[in-house]
Amino acid sequence: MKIWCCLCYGEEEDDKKGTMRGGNFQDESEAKVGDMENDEPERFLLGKSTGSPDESESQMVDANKDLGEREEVGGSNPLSRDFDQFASSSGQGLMEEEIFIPGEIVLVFYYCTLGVNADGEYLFRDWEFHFAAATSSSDTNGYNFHLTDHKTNKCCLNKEIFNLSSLPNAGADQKGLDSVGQRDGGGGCSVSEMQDSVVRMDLTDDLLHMVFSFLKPINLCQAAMVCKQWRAASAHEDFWRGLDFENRNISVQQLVLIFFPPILAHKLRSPSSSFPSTDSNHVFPQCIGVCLERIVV
Amino acid sequence: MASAPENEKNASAPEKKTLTLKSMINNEEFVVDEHVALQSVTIKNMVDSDCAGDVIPVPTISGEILALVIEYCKNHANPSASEDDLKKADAGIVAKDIYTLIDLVLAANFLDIKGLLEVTSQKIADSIKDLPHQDVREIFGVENDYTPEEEAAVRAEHDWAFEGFP
Repeated sequence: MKIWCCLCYGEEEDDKKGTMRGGNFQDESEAKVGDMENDEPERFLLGKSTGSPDESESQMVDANKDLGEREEVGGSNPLSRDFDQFASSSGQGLMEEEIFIPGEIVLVFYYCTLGVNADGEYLFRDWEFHFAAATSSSDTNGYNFHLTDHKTNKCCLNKEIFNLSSLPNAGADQKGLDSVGQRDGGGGCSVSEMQDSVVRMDLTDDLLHMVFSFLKPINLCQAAMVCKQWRAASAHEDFWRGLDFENRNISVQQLVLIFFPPILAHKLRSPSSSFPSTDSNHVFPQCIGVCLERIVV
Repeated sequence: MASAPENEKNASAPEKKTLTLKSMINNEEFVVDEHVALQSVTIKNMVDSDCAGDVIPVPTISGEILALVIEYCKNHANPSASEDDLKKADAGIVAKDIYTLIDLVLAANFLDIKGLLEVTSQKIADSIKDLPHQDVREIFGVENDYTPEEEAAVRAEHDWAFEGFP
């Protein structure tokens, strides 16, 4: 059985790099399921959730139609098939928590860009995630197709598929991710450390946080190599709100890694969990536009 | 018992209320004006709750570090100091080796002096950011608790950050 969840996000046209507005998951998933049942190619319409009327909407729709057509032409496209299976087998978008098994998760990541405006600002239109729990490796392999980027005059719709089990920290290293997720629970030993002044003291988590707040992301990544405490401290969301990957060779996969440890730490609790629309602390909405600016050419 | 640094303030401001801070590491005593010492929230809380005697013992902070802390507090207690002057003075205080800085940041944390905590943290961050993590471990006395596989995984996760880095 395949399980999907759909999360849609939109960005106001006049708020190009600002906070992203999350779509209403409940409504969205129902709408998606409805679309799936009808087997309409428009199920991939990324622009639907935003409802922001602007001139680029038509371009979006055009682009999405094109994508939909391609999906249609694909015919045996496993993605379409699984959407259908999901729709018919479940009839709703909410899944049980235990169905999601770390290491058997496939993330399908759509992102749509509108290019760069006259001010040199990046126009990021929409993105969308689908999580899939594959039940066998052969099914998983089925997802590893890659749609060629679709480009119109101003719009480019991209799709990336990640098998999260192949990411370094998924599954096997779940403990490490959990520790990152629980980073705020550490520390609390300042008194004993303070009393032992002869031995060179560790910095407490609070002090590490203070020191790390002066480091750039690249230095944070280097600091993460020191030990687990430092890694957990360096992963604090406070440091990852705005990112600059200029002149760095970073792949979309690594980008996803940066964002997804908190998700995996929660073991993808359920599609209806708070990620990320109601989780204002999550790093993704704040900086995805900036990141994609660097990596989507 | 009393050492040299206490004399100057005693003589110049006898009418002002003073506090004596005593390092419990090497028993050095520092007499400072109360309003200078009160920049430490920890000391302020002690004074406010009337649990501060004539001599306030400061555990875990050596006289050398305490002198730096008091220098910082004096600078920032001076209402006529310009921002530029303070910045220069702060830079002078934190122009120390990394081990002194670590002691200083711990002292600032213990005494709860926000400004000093920030400038010292900034300086530490600047000092470690270009160091290989092996050196950082040594400086901070941190044990490498990664397995080789985990270490490789962490590095792979962020390998974009290690271009041109040892």
